[in-house]
Amino acid sequence: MNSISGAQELAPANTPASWLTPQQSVWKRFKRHRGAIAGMIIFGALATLCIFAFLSPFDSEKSNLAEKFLPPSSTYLLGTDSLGRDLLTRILYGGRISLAVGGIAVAISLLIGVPVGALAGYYGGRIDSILMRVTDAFLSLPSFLVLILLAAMLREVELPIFQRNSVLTISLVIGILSWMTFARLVRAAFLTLREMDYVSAARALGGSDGRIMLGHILPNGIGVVIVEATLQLGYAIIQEAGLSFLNFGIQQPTPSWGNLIYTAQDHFTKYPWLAIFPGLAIFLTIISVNYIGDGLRDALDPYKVLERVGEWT
Amino acid sequence: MFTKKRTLLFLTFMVILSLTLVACGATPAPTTATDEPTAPSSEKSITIVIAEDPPTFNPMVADTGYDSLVMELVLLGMADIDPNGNVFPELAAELPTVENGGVTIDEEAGTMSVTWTMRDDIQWSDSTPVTADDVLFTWAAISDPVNGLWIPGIDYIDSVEQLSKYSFVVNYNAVYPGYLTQFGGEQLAIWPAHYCNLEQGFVAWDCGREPLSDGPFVLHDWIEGDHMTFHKNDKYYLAPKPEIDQVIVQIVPDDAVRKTMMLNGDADIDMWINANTAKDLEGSEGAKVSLSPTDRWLMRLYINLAEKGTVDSAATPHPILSDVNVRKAIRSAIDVDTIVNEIFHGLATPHWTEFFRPPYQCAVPRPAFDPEAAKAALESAGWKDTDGDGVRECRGCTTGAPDGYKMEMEFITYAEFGEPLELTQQLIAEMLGEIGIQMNITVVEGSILWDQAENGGIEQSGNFDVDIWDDGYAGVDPTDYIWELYSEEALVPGGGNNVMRYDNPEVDALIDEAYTLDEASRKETFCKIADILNEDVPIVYLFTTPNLEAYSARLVGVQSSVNDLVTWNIADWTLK
Repeated sequence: MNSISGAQELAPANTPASWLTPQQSVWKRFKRHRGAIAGMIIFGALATLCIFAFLSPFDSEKSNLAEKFLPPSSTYLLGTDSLGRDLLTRILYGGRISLAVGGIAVAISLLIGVPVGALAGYYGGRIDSILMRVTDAFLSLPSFLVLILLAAMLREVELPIFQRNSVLTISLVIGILSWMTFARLVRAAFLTLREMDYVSAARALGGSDGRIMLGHILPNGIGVVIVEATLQLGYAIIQEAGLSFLNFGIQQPTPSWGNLIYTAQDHFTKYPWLAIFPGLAIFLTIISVNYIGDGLRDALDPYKVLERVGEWT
Repeated sequence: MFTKKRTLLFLTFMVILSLTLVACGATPAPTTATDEPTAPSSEKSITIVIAEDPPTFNPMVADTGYDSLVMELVLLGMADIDPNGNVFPELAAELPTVENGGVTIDEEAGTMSVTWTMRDDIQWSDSTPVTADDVLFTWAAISDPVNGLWIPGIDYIDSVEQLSKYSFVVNYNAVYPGYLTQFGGEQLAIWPAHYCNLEQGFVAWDCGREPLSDGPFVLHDWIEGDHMTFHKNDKYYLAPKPEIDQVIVQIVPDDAVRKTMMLNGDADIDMWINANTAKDLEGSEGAKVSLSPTDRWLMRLYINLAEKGTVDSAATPHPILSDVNVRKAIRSAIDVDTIVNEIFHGLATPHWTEFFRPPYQCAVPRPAFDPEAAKAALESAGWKDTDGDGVRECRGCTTGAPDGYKMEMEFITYAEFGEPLELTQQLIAEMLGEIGIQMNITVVEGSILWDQAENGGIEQSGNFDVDIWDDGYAGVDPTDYIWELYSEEALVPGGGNNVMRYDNPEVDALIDEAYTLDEASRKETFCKIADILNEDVPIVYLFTTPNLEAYSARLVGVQSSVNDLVTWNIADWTLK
């Protein structure tokens, strides 16, 4: 069956599968990756729960000192924390923060990395050299240490949008230190695609550089960017958790997965659920998005198809 | 072309090959002896665990507490102070007083002279005697205009003169009540003139990290970030003390690890533990907790009377906090008893005045916890929630804030205290939220909060609305502390700790009056100050926490003190 599906993609004119649109074809290949499907279900469920956290009967920030340090029970499914707040509710609200930081950080990375990679790959020559040396310089930084340094510096200044330890500030700090992979991937894609006939045709028809880059090359190279974005999402969530754990990130009482684990430190031996459940949330999210990224890479990468065909021929 | 199976096989082969090569490779070099704490040379060895290296043995430089802790092991002052506030002589033969003729006061000129006589049987660990030369040398180092350092009361000293090999006189230009511990106490030691290099300066000299000892122990080795080892000083003047032969000060940054070491019997002292750790050690067979007999650290809200980012409360008053009725409303809205019982497990005591310690205890009436009264006070002060979002706005307020200005402020604390303070901060923010004041929480390192204005220190540069942290004075004389905190001279950045930018000429005059040796007058003066502060509310006092130190059950003689570090009497410690 596998050999048939591989052949279908190579020889679309001879099989019924030739009627599949490119999106259907990608989805079909994606579905074959069981881990990616499981990851999508878990991540989807987590994200949905976080979005609907407001349905929880408990307040995520209001204390209830009479109920502090309660173990998981039918009332408090994941127990309560040192101020008697429902841990499940705090994890779900914390998930919103962590996912938002992840999403915004990836968006910032894309905004920087894609143009840098596109310009370097399309124009080549001196522009390419300069932009890639800048990228190399950023890559050579010990990212987490610089992250801590930036976070520490930014919380000493008060700017209108980027307030101390806000979601935007933390996302910015993470984003400006993780765009380099996007730049390299996009550059590589542009180096290949700019030589394609359809690009030459577009140029011959008088298309401007901007139009060629945005309208013709980028859509064909977007696959790798999407895959990398999912992986970077997980990376950004881990970075946020690390920063919050070191008290450089989101501040209490606003929960984030990182600061929930930070506050659980003192109580790990007596009340382990305070650390285990937020840790589990981070673990599940990261492994889910990694599997989704893995599945997308398989589904979007034409060479993967060739490789699979090669196995059976 | 590699197929998937071949790729996997190749990878597996490479992993096995790598592991084999690593296993067959050179064995790691053995750890040198100096990388590990010296193995106990006898049974009488104890281990003290602290979070970080002391910067030096001179607490006057950085005052991290860890420097005082190790200073007490190797260096003596003229006098020290016990946990109950009693001053006792160290290098001094006796304490100078008016009664024994050691202190003479010129009433007309308003000056004072203190004559110190030193013991003649104390020597440095290289057998050189400790003499008045060392005191004069230390004073020269401190008062050096280039490399010197400010110490409490330095401005009152006109001169220090040597009278003989073992005596000297300190001439003051005013009556200075804190003279007994000025050349001793928890921060200042006398340094060896023949060993330290004055040209290197008091702050930076090498002997600050490799000190000669006249205390009970001698520094043997110091592996930074790992440990320090001290051996018994055979030339200690109170020989055969100390009974303990060796002290290892081990650097263990994580407090959870330090707690576990105490529980497992791997450490003998963990200083400055918090209430959570004390609670966890309760009932432990191997570890006990020593409480200081008196409290010093008064948790309080520092209220910025100047607009955030400015330092002049008269020119740029705070748009919310410059109204005393708002400050009183904040005080009424905080349920101190709940914080004390629920967060500090009863190991804290509510206090509502700066003057709660003997001998200067003032009967200030306790402010009532009354959130309804607080809400009413805010309403009548012109702060109303007209848009129904739970946060009040200025609607006719008298602070100069524009109409509609939100009652939203930043609320800062420091991270090093640990979870109990962070939970307290959250609870107070919640309590103030109940009366319509939104407090946005920030936690920073103490070094950022308390640094000098030119280094961006949050408090000194006025870049805050409300802070919460604990402070108090060492010893039994609050005069300098009160001057530094409330006087007009101390409100300029760098001039002192009046970060509230509180300016009251009546308080300034009373602080001046407190510089006398007349105890009855001092008490009356301090209580007048207490009454004024109670009405002006530049600070909201909350509760005190005792010093808590964990110690192993095998150690005898450990007594926590708010006036000094736990090692203040280490020469008297014994092992069961």
